[in-house]
Amino acid sequence: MAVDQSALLLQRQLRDMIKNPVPGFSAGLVDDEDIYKWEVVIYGPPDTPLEGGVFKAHLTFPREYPQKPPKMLFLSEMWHPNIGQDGLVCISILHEAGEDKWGYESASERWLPVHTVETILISVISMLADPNDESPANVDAAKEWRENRTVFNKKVAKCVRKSQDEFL
Amino acid sequence: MADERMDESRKTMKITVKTPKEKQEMEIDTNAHVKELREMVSQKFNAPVEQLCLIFAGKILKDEDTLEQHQIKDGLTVHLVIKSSNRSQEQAAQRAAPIPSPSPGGGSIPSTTPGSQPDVGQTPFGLGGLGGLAGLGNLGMGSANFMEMQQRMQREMMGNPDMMRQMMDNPMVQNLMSNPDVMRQMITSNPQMRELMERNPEITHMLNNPELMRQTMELARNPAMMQELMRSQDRAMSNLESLPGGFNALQRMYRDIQEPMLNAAQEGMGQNPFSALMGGGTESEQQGRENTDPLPNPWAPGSTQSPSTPSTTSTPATSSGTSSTPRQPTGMFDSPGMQSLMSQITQNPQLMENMLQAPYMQAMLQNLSSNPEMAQNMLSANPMFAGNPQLQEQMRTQLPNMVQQMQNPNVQSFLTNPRAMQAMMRIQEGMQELEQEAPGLFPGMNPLLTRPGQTTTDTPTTGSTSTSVTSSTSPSTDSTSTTTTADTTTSTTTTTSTPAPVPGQGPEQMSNLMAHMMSLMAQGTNNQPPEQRYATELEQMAAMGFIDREQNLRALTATMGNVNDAIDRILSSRS
Repeated sequence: MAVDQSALLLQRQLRDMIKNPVPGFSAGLVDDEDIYKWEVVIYGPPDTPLEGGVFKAHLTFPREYPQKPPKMLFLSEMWHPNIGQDGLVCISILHEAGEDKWGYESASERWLPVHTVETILISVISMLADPNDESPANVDAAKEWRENRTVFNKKVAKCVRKSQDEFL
Repeated sequence: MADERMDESRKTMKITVKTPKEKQEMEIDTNAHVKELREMVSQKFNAPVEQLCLIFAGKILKDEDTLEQHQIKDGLTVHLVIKSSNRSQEQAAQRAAPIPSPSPGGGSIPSTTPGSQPDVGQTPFGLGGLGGLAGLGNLGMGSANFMEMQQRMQREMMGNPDMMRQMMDNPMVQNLMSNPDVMRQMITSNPQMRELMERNPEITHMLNNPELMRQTMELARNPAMMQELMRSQDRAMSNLESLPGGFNALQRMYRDIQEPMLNAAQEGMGQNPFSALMGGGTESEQQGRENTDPLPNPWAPGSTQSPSTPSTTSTPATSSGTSSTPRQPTGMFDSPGMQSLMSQITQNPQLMENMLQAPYMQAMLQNLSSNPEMAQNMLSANPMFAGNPQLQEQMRTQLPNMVQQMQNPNVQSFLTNPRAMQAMMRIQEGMQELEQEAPGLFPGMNPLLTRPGQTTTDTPTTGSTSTSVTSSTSPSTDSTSTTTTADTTTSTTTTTSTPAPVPGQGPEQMSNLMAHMMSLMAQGTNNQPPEQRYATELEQMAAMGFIDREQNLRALTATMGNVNDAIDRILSSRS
């Protein structure tokens, strides 16, 4: 039952999204047969060093969705305090409510069943533009972001260029 | 729309293409491939096909896919990201937003990073800024397209000398080339060329000179020569470019001076009696071969005049011998004295400055222009010139112009700017090299400076010689003073009563151009410090996180305000 519900929910979201695309990203399925695996392309937010970038990512939903959060993994190379070097997005709203694994996140900041693909991605885009260096997934990036923004931005610019080269 | 649906529901659909900043609707065949959509989008958004990234449902659309495959249906929206490029400087310059931007044509992360070689066609300040400058359109080169086209052509030809040679060796092309009439027709049929000709009568002359045309073609057939020519020119230009404001000046110079000068120089060669003197058949001998004569320096007289004058004021002396026949038109510039003088000037700009600012200098210049005789005396007294009658003669004919030029505040400000002087030196060096490598191009450079009839200035001399010919100053009577004035440039002493210098058209034009260039240079260097000029760019770079303002400024200065290049520079210097 739960499975069906999540699939229906995701399908509805997909339909909505294709009909009324949200600016800033585009989302679809990796494989039309699998509603749980989404593929998204995020455009670097304007007026940030990421502007112009086209970043690919996968969203993997659990069958328990929306009770449990999806995982988001960037396929494009990223350099960001809140994105692990494996590409995994570390953002509080994607953390399950139950356990406070990280020890500092209040429940209200974490996953809520009301979140949809759209709200997740909007959060991620806002995170891209405004990193949270208090819960870094990439410590080096966070340190650099804090202490040596020039070098940080240089690496970001490299990622942007790489992401652009990918689509050609 | 309803009708359309009825008629074409099976064939076309309307989809919306959306960038973060704008959206457009377009109609496309339902069976179309992504390629077709991309082409359509390219037109609508006015951006090159290869810069478009179409995204639908989280997927980047590939050319070979069909729209159907992606289930793109009527009424749906496809996202578009336009990869930024730095080819579109015009828009980039207008945009204040930081790069890179996905907006059409704007923004700028250099994806296809251009070589670091200076790009003459590039206008980092945007054409808008240059548009206001008089003379930009002088040669009909104002359009960005034209410039770009030229650039591209040049680069292509340079990159592929074989192609060029093949083309040139093609019998048909050769045939064509050897027929001046055809060439002329070809050239005159180009509206841009026609405009150019109207503005610059010299060019028309040039086109009427089949020999010259053939020479030019000969040059084009020798790829090595061509390449060398371009290379040394490039180098000289890049040197000059690294001066703040130098680029602007360069650009103007490129249009206002180099081209007409080249043309005029070549024309001069065609009608220059020396060409015959240089030995019957020299011309053909020179074809395809490299010349060892250094390039005459068109600026040498202007800048050497002042240091030489004070040193000679004390000893007035005899008149000059003027009967020797000129053997080398470049004699003046060959002289070691001249060369050392030049280097002295550049090495000691302070001297120059002091000299020019000294109150007596002004008076002296005044004096000189109103009293050519004095100048004459000074000149002939100078030991450096004494042994070289040709040089004297040349100096003499040039002097009034020079004096006039020296009095121009712009010129003076230029002369007191050591960096400008150095740049000039570098240009000169480049040109010398150019001349060595590509003799066919500049053989008449010297005659340009003192062209019979056209450019020779009537200067009263102290010692009267047997041949007193009043050479005509009208530019249209080039050939009127034929036999006797054949060697006006160097051997004829002319006597006229005109006390004030009557510059021929050539030098006047030349000096005007120089003055233009210099005022521009002065503006570029003095009036606007780089911080101000690159304020927008600095802001952009700061917004991108390049916080070292000093470094940014340096990079911007070095890249003529091109943010992308500046960033590339900074990044590459770091890594």
